[in-house]
Amino acid sequence: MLSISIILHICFYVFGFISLTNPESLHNRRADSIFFENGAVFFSIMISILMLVIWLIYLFKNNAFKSFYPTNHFALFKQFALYFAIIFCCTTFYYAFQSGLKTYVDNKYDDATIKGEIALANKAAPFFSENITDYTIDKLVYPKPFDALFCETKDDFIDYAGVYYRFLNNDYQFYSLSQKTRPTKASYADSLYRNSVYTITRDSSITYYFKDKVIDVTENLKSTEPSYYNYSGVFYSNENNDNSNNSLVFHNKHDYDYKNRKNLRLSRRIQKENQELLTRNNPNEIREILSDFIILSNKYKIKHNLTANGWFDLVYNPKDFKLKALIQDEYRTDNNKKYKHSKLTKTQELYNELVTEYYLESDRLNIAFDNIDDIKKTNVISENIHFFLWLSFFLAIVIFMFRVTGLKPLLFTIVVIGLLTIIIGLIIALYSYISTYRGQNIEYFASYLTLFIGTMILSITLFSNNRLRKTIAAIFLNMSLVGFIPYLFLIVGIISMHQKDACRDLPLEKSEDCFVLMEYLGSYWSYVFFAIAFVFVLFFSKVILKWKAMAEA
Amino acid sequence: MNMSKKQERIQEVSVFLKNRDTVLGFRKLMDCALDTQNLSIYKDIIALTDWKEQFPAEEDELIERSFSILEKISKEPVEEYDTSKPIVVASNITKSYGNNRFRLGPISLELKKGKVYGLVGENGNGKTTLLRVLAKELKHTEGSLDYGFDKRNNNEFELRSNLVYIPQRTQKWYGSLKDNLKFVLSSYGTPPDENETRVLMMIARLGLWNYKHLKWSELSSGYKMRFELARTLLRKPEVLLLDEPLANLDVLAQQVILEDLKSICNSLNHPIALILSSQQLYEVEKVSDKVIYLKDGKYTDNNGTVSKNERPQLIVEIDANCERQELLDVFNATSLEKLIYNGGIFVAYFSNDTSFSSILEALGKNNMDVTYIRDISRSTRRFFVS
Repeated sequence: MLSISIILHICFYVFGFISLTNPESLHNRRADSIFFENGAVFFSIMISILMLVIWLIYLFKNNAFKSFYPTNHFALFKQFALYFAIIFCCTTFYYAFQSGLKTYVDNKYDDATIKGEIALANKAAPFFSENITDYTIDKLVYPKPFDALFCETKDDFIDYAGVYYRFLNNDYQFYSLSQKTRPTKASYADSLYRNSVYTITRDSSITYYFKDKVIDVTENLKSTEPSYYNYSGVFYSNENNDNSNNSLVFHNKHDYDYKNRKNLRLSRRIQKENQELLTRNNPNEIREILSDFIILSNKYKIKHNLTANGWFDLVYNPKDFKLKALIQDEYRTDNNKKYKHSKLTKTQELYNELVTEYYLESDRLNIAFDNIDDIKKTNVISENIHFFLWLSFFLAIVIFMFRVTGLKPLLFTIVVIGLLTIIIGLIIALYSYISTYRGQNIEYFASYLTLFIGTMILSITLFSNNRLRKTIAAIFLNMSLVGFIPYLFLIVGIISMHQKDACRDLPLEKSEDCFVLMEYLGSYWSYVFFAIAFVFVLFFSKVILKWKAMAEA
Repeated sequence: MNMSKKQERIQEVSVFLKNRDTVLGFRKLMDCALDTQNLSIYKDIIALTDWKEQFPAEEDELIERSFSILEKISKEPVEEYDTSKPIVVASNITKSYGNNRFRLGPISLELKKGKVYGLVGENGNGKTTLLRVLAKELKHTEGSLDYGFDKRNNNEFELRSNLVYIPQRTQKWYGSLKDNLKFVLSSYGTPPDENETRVLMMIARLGLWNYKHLKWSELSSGYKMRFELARTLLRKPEVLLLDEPLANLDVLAQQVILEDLKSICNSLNHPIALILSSQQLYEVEKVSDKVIYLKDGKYTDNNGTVSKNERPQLIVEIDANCERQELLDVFNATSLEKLIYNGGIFVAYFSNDTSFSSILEALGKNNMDVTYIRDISRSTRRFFVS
């Protein structure tokens, strides 16, 4: 069964490997979860169930343990470990699929190529000409003094007494910025920092930026009309995802125009390069960028109807590089390509005026880059491995219990566990009803009551099982086997609960470094418990043998 | 010069073969082969069994081929096992199912290897309980129970894996008969090539050759019991506890299986202590070295009340189409002490000096219509009818 499952793993690997061969499959968000979308998930669940059922049918045909064929506790443990291995292998085709996916993407889209392609896309992006607003003066972040200014675009916040600029009926006003910094960990309220326009969070501090004074930039401004000079959008960057501790957050009332500026430094660099390109004014250089980008788009099967020359003619305006035509962001029929409300804003009117037949689904390329980056960065054996580990473990334990003690004790065990849960629940309810203290007191009571009962069950199983009737001893045996890990969890939980409470009493500065066992273990608790669980089963096998040899009363 | 036991057995086989008792002779030949524990001889036997099943009519060649194997066997050394040491010693064991309920014992007994012990008694008198106590399936209430196995047992589980108990109702199994037998040996860690040979040898010995590919549902209950025996014997048990192995078997099959059991248990180098319970008094008494009669949980040693040398009271069981008075008249001349009629049969008790032949003579002279008559003076049958 293991070898069949390994073959199937290879199949799923291949399946994963070929499922992204068509670049179009990268056009939609979360291509890394294609497993859940292309039916592979149902296929894998079906295969898993089928394999487990067939395996169980064969497994249940013979039971050497039941017939008292010679064995030892190590062999018994080996049986359990095999059950676990088989169940685990039969349920984790997802990982084979994901590794196939990752291998394909890693090979097909190597880092250097992708880096070059992203750079090219960022170079070509200023000429996408999709939205007028991408080219308005508020997008200026380069050169000086714009790199240190903030452009207010909302009428409500514009100081009409100061210098402001108007294009159609949109107003723009530039402000210098003041800043305040505070450590991240300080927990007092943010009220001091209200009205900031944006914040930058670094490893240990947050810097708040506030509008300071209105600045007159008339000298530096060539024109208020939309121009390729103004474009500062970052088409794609995987840098800002690298360090989550260094993030830029725009505050709500200001952020909607800043959506393309996730990374100010990068925006400045891109705008600088773009302005330099336009200043060089070399038609061949621009045409080459556009034609290279078209080749790139074709590689990723991005839908467009651009030709290098056609596009070049649309955007090349050597005098001042004003925006003179627009390209649609997806294919629309003639009827749909223009705004058609009865009352259009001036910007919309301008859009209708400038829009052309050309279209380019550039968003798809962005998503494709994002998908590739995501898949490359994901660790195939991620957090959800714990789910499969523990699922397999408990399934293996149940099958093991069934094999060792038989069906009747297993069913009785389920009933007894159910009854115990109800009884414990009732006692806790009763306690909370009669006790005058409320809150955490009950938590402690419940934990210690469960701990007490758990300890009793475990010690009876370990030390005085042979005084019980064989069937009852089997129930204790099963409960100990299935309950050991929850019991361990309970102990760690109780210790952590005490530690947390002790921490709460400490002064604020000290509470930061307070030791709490559960937090200390972090996500490693799963691995630690898992190892303990296996060692437990190994030693518990001796108890099982002793139980099996028991005579009936 | 005295012949060794091995030579005696080989001699016995050659006599059977010469007398053309091929069925019995071949079985005994296989017993001799089993004693050698030699896989090459096993393979010869397997090949011959296969040939025999293909050409059942060619008796002469079978005898000839059997002799050549017998020749080979006679050259193999066989180490005899010392059977004087008891393997199970129970002293004063009792088993109580609670106050005022059934209570077994106290019973003391010793089981030795190579011996067959018959456990008889009416229903509900504790036969199964005793077997299960001896097999450690049930806890005994009092007394001590000791085992003297050759294999050292490190723990209770190992001890129990040596105590082979076959219950009256055996469990269903899956797959073919042969595969199931191979599973037993593989559980014991026998290497695959040796596994096949040993399994086929056991199949041949227990007469399962033509049934080896059948499944559980395709076997009659008699063959299911044979399968259980084969499975058990592959485990090389030192003690074998069988609960009603003869139930569901026809009279002939009962005899054959008892004979088989007896000769397998009497193996020279691997004897087995066999204890079996049964209702088939006559058949069991015929093969048992000792009969244990249980009545109300108490143990009566059949040989204990009457010693072998002493002549016991003559007890005769008679089924006749006549009135009680007629029989009394017939036995008037003999020293009749008691005549009991239990609805179906008469049981007549005579004094010690009466001979069975004189009873037959009296019945014959009076021209009685007797359908069945048996001397049960030494049989446990006398406990049942009294």
